[in-house]
Amino acid sequence: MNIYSVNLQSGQLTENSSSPLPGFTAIPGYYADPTGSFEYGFGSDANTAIVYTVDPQTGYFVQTANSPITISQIAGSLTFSIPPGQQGVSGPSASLSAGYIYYYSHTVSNVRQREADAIAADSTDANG
Amino acid sequence: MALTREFPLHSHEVSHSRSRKYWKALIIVFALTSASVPSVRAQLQQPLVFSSAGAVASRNDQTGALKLVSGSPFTAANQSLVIDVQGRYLFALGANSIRMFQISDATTGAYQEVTGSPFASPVTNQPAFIAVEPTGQYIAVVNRVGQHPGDGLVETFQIAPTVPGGPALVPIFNSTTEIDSSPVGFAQLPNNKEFLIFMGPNPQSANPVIQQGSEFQALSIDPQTGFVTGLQLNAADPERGDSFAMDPQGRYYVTGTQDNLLEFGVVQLFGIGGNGLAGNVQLPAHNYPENLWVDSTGGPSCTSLRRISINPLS
Repeated sequence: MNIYSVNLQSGQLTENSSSPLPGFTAIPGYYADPTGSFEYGFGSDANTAIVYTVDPQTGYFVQTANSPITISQIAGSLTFSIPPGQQGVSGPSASLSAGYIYYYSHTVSNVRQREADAIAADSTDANG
Repeated sequence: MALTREFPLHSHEVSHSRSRKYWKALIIVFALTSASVPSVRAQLQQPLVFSSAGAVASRNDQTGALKLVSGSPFTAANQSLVIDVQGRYLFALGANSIRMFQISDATTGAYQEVTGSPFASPVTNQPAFIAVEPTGQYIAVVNRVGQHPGDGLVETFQIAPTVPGGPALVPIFNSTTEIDSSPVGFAQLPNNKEFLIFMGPNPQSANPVIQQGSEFQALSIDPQTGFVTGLQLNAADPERGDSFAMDPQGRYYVTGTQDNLLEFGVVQLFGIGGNGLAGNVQLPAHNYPENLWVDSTGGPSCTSLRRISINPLS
């Protein structure tokens, strides 16, 4: 099982010097929390959750100090809720900063394409 | 994790009259949008994790700790649960059907299966993935088996909270969308606007490209009609599709393919939405990317590294 790093500016994939991942011969059955920095796996029984972070240098899994955790019938496929207020939005939206109000449109078919304009908060002038 | 960016990609000077026009237009568009599309807010009161085995736990996203909620465990769905964007329901794959659960307590996530569950349409056949859309009115179901040999099929259902007999899933008439092959991987973007399908070869297809190839589709559900949108025609690629994974934060996805002539594997990374992010690694001959896994670590900076783990054994 090999480990690759992803450079999100260039898109470059590079096999890490720490690759392959020791002790694993297949993809681990871990579930990644999309809102945090944790991966969740299970112990040998149905009631034990094990929490990991990933070492940013090696890519290896590191068990957290509060792990393992006993929870009845936890071992299964995990689904994570998104906290209120962090849900994605669709259509026009606006956000406030100290000096400006930004408003922009979110295109449903392409999350990366959006346009924005900035207006000074006092409405006397506007620039971005 | 903030899913919407709080900064403009570009900005420019705006005159007084133009700024007033912008505000008028913005208010009008907001009013129209709010009149036609239900408000979208996740109504669960704390971060939760739902297990297919029945457990529900609150989670601390600073420490990773999980804590059992009152009443847990609940009914085991025995399949991955999908959360309604308004926090009212959970959905799970059933036997040629979709199971629907109602969340009765938005704080604990307590749930029970609704009367009449599971639901299906005449074309629901080996469902493999459930997608939601941002308004919470519809779900899409990706079926492994379509109406033509080797094809898959996407259909949609309306989430109907108030029909006689209780909450239900109602098939959308004529919503079926045939896809060129059976999927090998799926993902829903965190903002729920699109869902991604990566398909493997379909030897029974009349299209010679997909017979040994692959195909990627990014689809949406139209919140006005409930129909599937975004299907790209003639999208098949000659490389055999093996594996698929998406960054849990929805910034990129990774595909694993096999070159059909020289028999080497390729792991390729793409930005979502065509933002130019792309890169690949060629694996040694006869090593094919059987499975892909992407972790969720790191902060919001695009300069930080993400790691993927790849099993090159075929």
